[in-house]
Amino acid sequence: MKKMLAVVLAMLSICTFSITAFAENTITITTTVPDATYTLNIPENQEIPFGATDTDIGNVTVTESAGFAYGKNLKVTVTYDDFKCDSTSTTIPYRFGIKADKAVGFAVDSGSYITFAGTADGTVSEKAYLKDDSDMLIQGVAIRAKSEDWGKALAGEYSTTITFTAEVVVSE
Amino acid sequence: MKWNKIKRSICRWFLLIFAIAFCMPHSVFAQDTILTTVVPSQFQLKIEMDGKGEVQIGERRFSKTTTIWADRHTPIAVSVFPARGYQVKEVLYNGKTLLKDPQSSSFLLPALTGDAVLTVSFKEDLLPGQTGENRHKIFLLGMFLVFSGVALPWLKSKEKAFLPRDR
Repeated sequence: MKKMLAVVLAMLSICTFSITAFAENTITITTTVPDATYTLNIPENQEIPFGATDTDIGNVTVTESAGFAYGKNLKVTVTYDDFKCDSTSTTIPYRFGIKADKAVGFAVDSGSYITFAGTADGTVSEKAYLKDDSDMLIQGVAIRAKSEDWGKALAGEYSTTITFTAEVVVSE
Repeated sequence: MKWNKIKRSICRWFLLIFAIAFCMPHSVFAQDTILTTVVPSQFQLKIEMDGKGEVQIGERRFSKTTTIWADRHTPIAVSVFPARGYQVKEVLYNGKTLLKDPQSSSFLLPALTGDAVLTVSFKEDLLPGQTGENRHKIFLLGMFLVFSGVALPWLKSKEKAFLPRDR
């Protein structure tokens, strides 16, 4: 009987002990990833003088950017087509030109892109660089048409549309 | 009645989905820049004249510096007429010599690809007998001959009057 009592008491004492190993203290940390916001500034609509072979049309910049980070960039793809006229069959081909640092200029094909790099403070650089080459900071954009192409064009009013498509991307 | 409720419910869901699709922030934006240009049918041709003479383009003649409009893609026939006593010194087109042989008086300008300047210079002709500059000398010589023709018989008659008579 004593033995039985001893076993029961032992069981009760074990059950009534506070077990610190099972104590639970947790904290929950939350964060919100906001949508990236920005203002993309592109060149204004404008008239190009006849015969101009290299015309500065402004620049592509970004202001009031937020929600970016290092590696989270803004990619702007540039697409364009020749000058066309409704009343004539001739077109005036041209190329979109980029003026980079050190007075270096490049003509880029339609479909090329420029990148605004995200920074640790949540913004992107105001000026872009060509494709993924961060050494090639863009100072301005231009259009370049050959003189002979101007010469071949029949008289008329021509126009062309340059489309800038912006997209938030994550660099790999 | 039940069917109507179902229809209303479906419409509400469609409206909600439509509103969400349009109000959700898009990650891709596109903006356009429109460039325009005007290709003219004519260009300005400035005709600069230096010296005395005329330039004919088409049926019009110009003796002073002037500016005209000319069709693109069309060669322009030009004729140069120096004034009496002058000859063509040189013809420049956009600053470059156009005429190698200044004796030519007619030539074709290349089709205009932009505003252009045609400069025609004339110089005084120094060759004798061509410009008429020595006319006054010829006149003087003629006068001298006429005077001599009158003076000689007169002097002869005077000679007879003054010389002593031989007896």
